[in-house]
Amino acid sequence: MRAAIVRRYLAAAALGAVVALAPACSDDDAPPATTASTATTPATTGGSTATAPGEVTVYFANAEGKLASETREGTPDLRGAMDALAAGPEDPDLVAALPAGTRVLSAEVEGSLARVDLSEEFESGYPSGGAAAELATVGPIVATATAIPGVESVAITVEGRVPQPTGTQLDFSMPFTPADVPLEPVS
Amino acid sequence: MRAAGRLALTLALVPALAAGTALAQEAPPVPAPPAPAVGPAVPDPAVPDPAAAVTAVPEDPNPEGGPPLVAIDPGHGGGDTGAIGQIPAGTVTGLPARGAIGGKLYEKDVNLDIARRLNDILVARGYPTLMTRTIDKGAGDEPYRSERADLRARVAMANAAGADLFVSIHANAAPPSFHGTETYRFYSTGTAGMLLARSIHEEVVFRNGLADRGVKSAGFYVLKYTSMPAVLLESGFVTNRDEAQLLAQPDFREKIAEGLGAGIDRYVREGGPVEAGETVAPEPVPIRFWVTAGVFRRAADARERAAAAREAGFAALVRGRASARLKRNLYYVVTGRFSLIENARAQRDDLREAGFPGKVGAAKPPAAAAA
Repeated sequence: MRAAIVRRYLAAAALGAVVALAPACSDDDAPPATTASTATTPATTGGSTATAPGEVTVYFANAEGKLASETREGTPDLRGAMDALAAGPEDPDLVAALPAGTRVLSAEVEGSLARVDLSEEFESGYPSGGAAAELATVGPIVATATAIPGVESVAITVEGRVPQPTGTQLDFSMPFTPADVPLEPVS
Repeated sequence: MRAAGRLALTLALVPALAAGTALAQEAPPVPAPPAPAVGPAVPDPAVPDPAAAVTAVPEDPNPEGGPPLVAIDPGHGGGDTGAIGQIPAGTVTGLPARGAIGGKLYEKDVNLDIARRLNDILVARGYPTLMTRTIDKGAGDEPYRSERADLRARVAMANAAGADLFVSIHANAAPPSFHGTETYRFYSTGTAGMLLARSIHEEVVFRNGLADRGVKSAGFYVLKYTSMPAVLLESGFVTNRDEAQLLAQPDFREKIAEGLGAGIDRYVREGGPVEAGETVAPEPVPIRFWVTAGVFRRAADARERAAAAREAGFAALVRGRASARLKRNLYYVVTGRFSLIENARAQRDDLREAGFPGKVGAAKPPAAAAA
């Protein structure tokens, strides 16, 4: 069991930059409405058309539960950042945010809202309890997405629907702001 | 709202209920889960808007002169085990045996046990209480169906009963190196919520002796949608080897329950009325006065006195301190810690009335070498 716990937090590196293409969302469980008034033009889509390579910043919790960042080569948009997040931290002292095997199905920015759609491993591998474990999972997603200029909140879906991982204390039916899942930055 | 509160108050004082009878029949009907609608433009109609909750916080914990109604929320339950920790097989836990050889510690069991102990403590001190579950099931002692329905029901029970305080009891999880106690409040809670979180956190950390991870803020469901000051305690980490073994001990869980009870007491005594809608964090209230019910040379004598004081409804515990003059340890039976001398004197008088040699001390807290 201890091994399983360790595995949950240490695994994920194997995914690399595999980009899974999948429908952005299903029809009946409607994905989030935008926070902002009008803007709906996807700034980024879940495609593989990597444009200008650059640097992307991803956030992870460290062993004290504080927020640390890593910079990677990659597409400097939401999709690039989320893929880097799914790939896991390079620093072995940081904690993988997404449960092992989680893939980013789509990542789009609509106005100030980022929509991130994840594969079902996110829900099935989600921590069964514990604020620290939840914040180390969802906090880095929100911190990484809101680090993109203009993004203020993040709606997380799993295969197009609102996830409902057993044991969560968070409200996935509403977009998350950094205040929902704060992690103290490393000093 | 107040009428509902009175009703719940009366019901909660019925001993059978306090002893653990399901509250399902008193609980309001659980609204159906909302259609999943991720988006701020589609607020859930069945739960109050969190922004509205901020201004709706009853800032005076005791507006009608009676003790406040405390909603106790044991996290998880039923099909939702919460976090799972490892303990040595055969450990005597006082909890249901989990795992093939009893080597597992379920967060839901720890939470419920602490909640029951807290309920006993509060009822003994005259508080009306409401438990969101009293057995190993979901909210309202109903079968666990889904996370969202469960969380909604917990919030609905407390809101409908007009609870004055909401205390959610959890144990933490993370990689094994994480350890300590932390307490959460809603990020835009009023001053009352901050004071409640601080009081509970300080009193729990004082008693369980774990690392102090501080009072934090987050948007956890039960904090966001309850309409009264609410906190979520993460008592310790079931994923940390040492803390799992502590949480497995009934005495340790009693210390946490006593800390919760003392924190609620302190909040009710000292939280005081504050400006409605105020969101500025107040300065931490320094503890300057200690009330004791006796000082002993032998730890065993102090423990005996503490047990008697607890029997009489005081949150007594034993703290040892080296006396430079006597060149030995003295054991203090501490019943309360206060920032205001008036409150300290009031408890001293309560102690004397109950036949204990109540005394107020103002020096540095006797913290070293706990008995």
